[in-house]
Amino acid sequence: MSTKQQEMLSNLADIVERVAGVPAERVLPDKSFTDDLALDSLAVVEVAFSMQEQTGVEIPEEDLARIRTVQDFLDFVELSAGSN
Amino acid sequence: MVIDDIRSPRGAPLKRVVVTGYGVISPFGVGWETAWSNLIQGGSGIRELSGIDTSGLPVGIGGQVLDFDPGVWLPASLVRRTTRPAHLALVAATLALRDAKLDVDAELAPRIGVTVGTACGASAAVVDAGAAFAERGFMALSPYTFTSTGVVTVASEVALHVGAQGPAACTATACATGATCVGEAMRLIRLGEADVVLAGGADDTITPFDIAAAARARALSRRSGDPRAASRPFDTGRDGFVMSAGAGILVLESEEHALARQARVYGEVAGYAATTDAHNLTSPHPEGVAVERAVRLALRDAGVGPAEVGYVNAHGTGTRMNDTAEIKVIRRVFAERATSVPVSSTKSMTGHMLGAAGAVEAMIAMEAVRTGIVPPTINCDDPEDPEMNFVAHRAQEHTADVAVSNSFGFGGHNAVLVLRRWRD
Repeated sequence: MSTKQQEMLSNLADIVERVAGVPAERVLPDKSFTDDLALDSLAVVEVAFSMQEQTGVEIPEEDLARIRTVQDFLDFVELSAGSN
Repeated sequence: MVIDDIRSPRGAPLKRVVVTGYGVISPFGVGWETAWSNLIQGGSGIRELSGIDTSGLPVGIGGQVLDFDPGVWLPASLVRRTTRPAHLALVAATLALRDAKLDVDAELAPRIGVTVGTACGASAAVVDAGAAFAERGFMALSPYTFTSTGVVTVASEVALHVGAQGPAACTATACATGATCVGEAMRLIRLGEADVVLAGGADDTITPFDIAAAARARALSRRSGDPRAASRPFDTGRDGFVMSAGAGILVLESEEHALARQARVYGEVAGYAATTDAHNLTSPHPEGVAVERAVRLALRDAGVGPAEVGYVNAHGTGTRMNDTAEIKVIRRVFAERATSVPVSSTKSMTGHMLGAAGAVEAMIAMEAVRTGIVPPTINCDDPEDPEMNFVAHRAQEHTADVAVSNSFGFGGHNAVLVLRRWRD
């Protein structure tokens, strides 16, 4: 994982903790938001929303539906940020 | 009239309803004790507004709830998906249950209800979301916007947080909301629909938008240079109410349930009546016809007459029209005792906490009965009716077994509660 992605992961972990109460240490790349981290569907959207507020990267709802794991999320944000 | 003669529609005698817990957040801070202690000393919670931009507004004062961090009391994720009035209601409910030493276990869950209301709901959150939406469109909205801004959340989040599975609703009657919720909770318990109800109200409308809106309706005092002197119920120099924030939640319990667990009882919610002016949306009927009916019906509901009332906690907002009409009603109902029964408006000190007011004032009236200390009406320098006892400036000692608490809301909603000493 690149340093940039490490930083983003750390960011994301903090957001997940704030939004859903899941300890940041448990937010690891291979974890599924809904199965492993037990976020409900609104919480997932809220995480994306918070990330958007912080980074300016929008995650359209259709794309959010395809994101299952933490790694998927990081990859998407990196891709979108790169194309902006 | 003996209380056992009052029968429910199903024919069984009505249960008696007592209060076993107080939960308050007010301009005096978090907690009932700090509020009561300030009130009996004639302290004021009204200050120059801080932390918000009041430029361009004709009003710069209010009773803010300052130094309140919901994160100290509630999980961060809960704070995030709810709005300010819900935060206040949640913490007040937590305090009330703690005060009542009541745990909601599996047996109690279906028998505990929630009637917590709000006058203005999450208006700050709606305004902010509206601005974000206008600026950036659909994706500017948090997915929690829809659920968190619903008016019911002050009740539903409390029910969710404490595990209450009985009847839960947000009931609103504008400025009378807190009293209406206490009264309706009393009825739920009387009729056997619940054994315990968390009842009261919460509001926080200390935002530039809400203050502007209320000021435009010409409802607020504009005495901005002198915050402590601005809320002047029953004084000839009054010019409107002072907006405040807060939450008040009482634990109402059936006598049977409270005695079975040897709960400490503060007092009895002995009577309640609701009437409506149907006169004007914001001005009370000048003769207070429907107000008088509410007072008399509440007393009858409690099985007492005006002669037995030892204290009246007035609605006393400090608007020209409310106070004049309220004085007329007190004069008519109490007749020759109208010049001796102590009548005070604690809004002179707390300001008007909107949905929370009627609930906090029910606690104040109950505490006055319990302690024999009647809180003052401060700023009552030139009373409109000099013969009446408005408990001007300083608290007084009075023995009262029964107190009346008045709440009258915009829309002409009149809610009167009768609180009575509880003898074990």
